Amino acid sequence: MRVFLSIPFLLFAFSPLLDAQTSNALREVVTKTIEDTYTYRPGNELAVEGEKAEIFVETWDKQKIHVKVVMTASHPKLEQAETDLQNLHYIAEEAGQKIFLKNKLKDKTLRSQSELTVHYYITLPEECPVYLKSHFGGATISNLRNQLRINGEFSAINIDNVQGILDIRSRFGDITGERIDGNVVINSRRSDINLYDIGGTFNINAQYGELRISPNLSMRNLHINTDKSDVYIYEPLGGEGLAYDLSLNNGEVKLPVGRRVIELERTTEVRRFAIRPSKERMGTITASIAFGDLYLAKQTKELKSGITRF
Amino acid sequence: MKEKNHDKLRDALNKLPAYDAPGSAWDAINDGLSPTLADQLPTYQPAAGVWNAISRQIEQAELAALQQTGAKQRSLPWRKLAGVAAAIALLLTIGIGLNGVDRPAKVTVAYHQEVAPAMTIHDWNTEEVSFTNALAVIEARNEPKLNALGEELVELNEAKEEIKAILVAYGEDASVIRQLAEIERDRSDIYRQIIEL
Repeated sequence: MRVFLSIPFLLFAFSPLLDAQTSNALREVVTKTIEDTYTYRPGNELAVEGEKAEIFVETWDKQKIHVKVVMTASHPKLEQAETDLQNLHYIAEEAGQKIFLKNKLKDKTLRSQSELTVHYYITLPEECPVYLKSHFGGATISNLRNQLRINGEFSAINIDNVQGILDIRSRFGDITGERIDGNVVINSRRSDINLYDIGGTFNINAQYGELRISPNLSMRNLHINTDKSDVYIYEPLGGEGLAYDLSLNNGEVKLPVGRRVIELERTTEVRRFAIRPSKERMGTITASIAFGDLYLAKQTKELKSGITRF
Repeated sequence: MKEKNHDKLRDALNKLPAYDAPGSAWDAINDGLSPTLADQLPTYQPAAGVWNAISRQIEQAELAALQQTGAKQRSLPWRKLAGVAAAIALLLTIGIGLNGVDRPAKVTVAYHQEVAPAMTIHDWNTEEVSFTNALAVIEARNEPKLNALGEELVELNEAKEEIKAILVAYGEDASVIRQLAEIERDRSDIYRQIIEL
């Protein structure tokens, strides 16, 4: 028996295969890697200005700053990927004590046909002050011991095991931190903040975000000032020495059981509470929250849903 | 002056008589020569300290000469050593210097292939008319609550434009598109609040 197969039938029969082939199509990736090393001397500062760049900062015990910048262009056509990569420019300059690293587009009006990405891998002494400016992309910093400044927009910020003076500004970029100790200032807008195991002095100003803060026993002064943000504070075990001064404007609050809560003010809009330390004062937590809710609980307790309005 | 009659003169001289000196004359001369003048001078012995001093001076001079010779003999290795040390120090200095001087950046280019991500549907501008109309209504009504929402919407609109600009400049990245989707959800939330008022 002869079987006649029409073209439409063939297309219909093998269309799943065609789809699969399309989804598994390959693209060319051109990677340009730049590696550079600078001798670190006390007083040096590293400044990185990344655009659409993932910045990773790590430390080592050498008195050197090692920089590895990886720039890639991905496109189905190799020539197009190479052309677009040429428009991506990396700049490294030394001015006095400062080392500036930056990436930018040579021709900003050029529409990139390729997907362009930039990665910075930086290794430096832990005492080296660092300033990061990130416009899209992200920044991951760990083990620094001196000074860290970050100015991020649309960039996720991750900080792990950092001490010293921190100044973090973020817009449309979430901040995640763990094991931070020092004098810390955070100003954020439309960014969620998640800080765990933090101590020292913290001053946090936030608008339009969700804050989850888990201080440790070395927290001396935590001041939170938020607008249109929900705030979760998780008290550490043995943290009965912490004193709280909580103020809400057009917000709801859930406070832990077992602590003596003193209500200081109650109007239709404003609520104020104080929680005195039940043992020697070890630190103070002040929260001023407008148009948002406050949850206060022990760190070992899983926060239950439901809000208690006083 | 040249003698013209040399032979005649010689003959004449030969003809002259010869006379011997008396024997006493020679004795007298002999007596006059002895003792000599040096023998006639008085002699003096120098003090012992003079010779000792001279001897010490000679010994010291010899010792100094020996030391000088020795120093000269040893100075060559010292100079060599000093030269070697200087060379090493120079090399070390250059080495440390080169170590301190940052070497030029190392640049490499690599190529590979990867599976292309799925194509993205550009559907994020389909509802812009609704947002524009909402802003127009807010402006017309000019009420505080609406104005506050309008400010939020304007901020989110600007954020969306920034994200779209990055998508144009750096190509379509899934993480950036996710950021755009988040902004769109926030804008939708604001829009719902606006139309409720």
